[in-house]
Amino acid sequence: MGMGKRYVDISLAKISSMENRLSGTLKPVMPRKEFVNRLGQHIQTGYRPTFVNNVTNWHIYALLVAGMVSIAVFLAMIVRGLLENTNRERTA
Amino acid sequence: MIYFKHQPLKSGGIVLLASGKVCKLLELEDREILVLASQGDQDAFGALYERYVERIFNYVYYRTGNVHDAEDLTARVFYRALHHIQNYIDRGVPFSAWLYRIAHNLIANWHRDRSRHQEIPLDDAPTLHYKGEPPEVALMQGQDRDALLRLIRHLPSERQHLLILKFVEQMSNAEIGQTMGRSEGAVKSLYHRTLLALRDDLEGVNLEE
Repeated sequence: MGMGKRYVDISLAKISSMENRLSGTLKPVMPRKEFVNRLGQHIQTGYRPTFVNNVTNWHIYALLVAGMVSIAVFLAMIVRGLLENTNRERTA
Repeated sequence: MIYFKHQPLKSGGIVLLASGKVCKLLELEDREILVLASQGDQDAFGALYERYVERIFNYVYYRTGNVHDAEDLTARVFYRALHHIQNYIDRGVPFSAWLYRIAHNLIANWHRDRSRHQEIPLDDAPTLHYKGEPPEVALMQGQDRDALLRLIRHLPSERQHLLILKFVEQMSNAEIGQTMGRSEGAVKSLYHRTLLALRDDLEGVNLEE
């Protein structure tokens, strides 16, 4: 019984000391006024900076471009192979 | 409920209610403003923005640890909310819970996109101030504080959310429960477990040093 009570007391003391540390650390901060005002204006006017759209999708665009270039190179190689083959048949 | 709004927010945002009462947009409850906002009224959404921007910024700031990312993610939270406000369904939970959920998802993506958390050098980071304190009192940057914040950021996201609501937002367990979709008892239990775990982590760090 005594051991249990002591354990509870230690836990409560630990919790209380953590609460003190946390209340000194996790305090509300003020965002910069310029940021709040600028974002507020954008929201009011429905304006969305393009970089926000682009940043989220840029890797998709990069993949698309890379994919298209790869397909183009692959097709060019096939066409070149076929042409060389037909030239060889003609000369033979 | 709301009958007519005949002034933009900048000019006071006067709203005529169905009851005949005239009041300012910012004086309305969230539920009432949401009716207007979900109909595409940007002033109404602006009023919600003014009400919640600091809270969301604080949440994101303490989850990411730097001002630049906190500003970027806060902006994305509100753009996403603006984009989806028409689909918002009032389920009796606070509107802030919806915003926190958007913020939580964006922060999860942000962490996923970064294999290693990049610390912004202090010189580049804009200075923030504690709310309610004079501007000359800049944010405390002690070693103890930084160590504790680093440990908090390593906690599961649910526990981080709980600590931010408890200490930054000063919410009661019942309010936290409403926001997080948990019972008051579950919040209390999670809170105690979190503090004990954090205490043990802190002792571990001190022993290592």
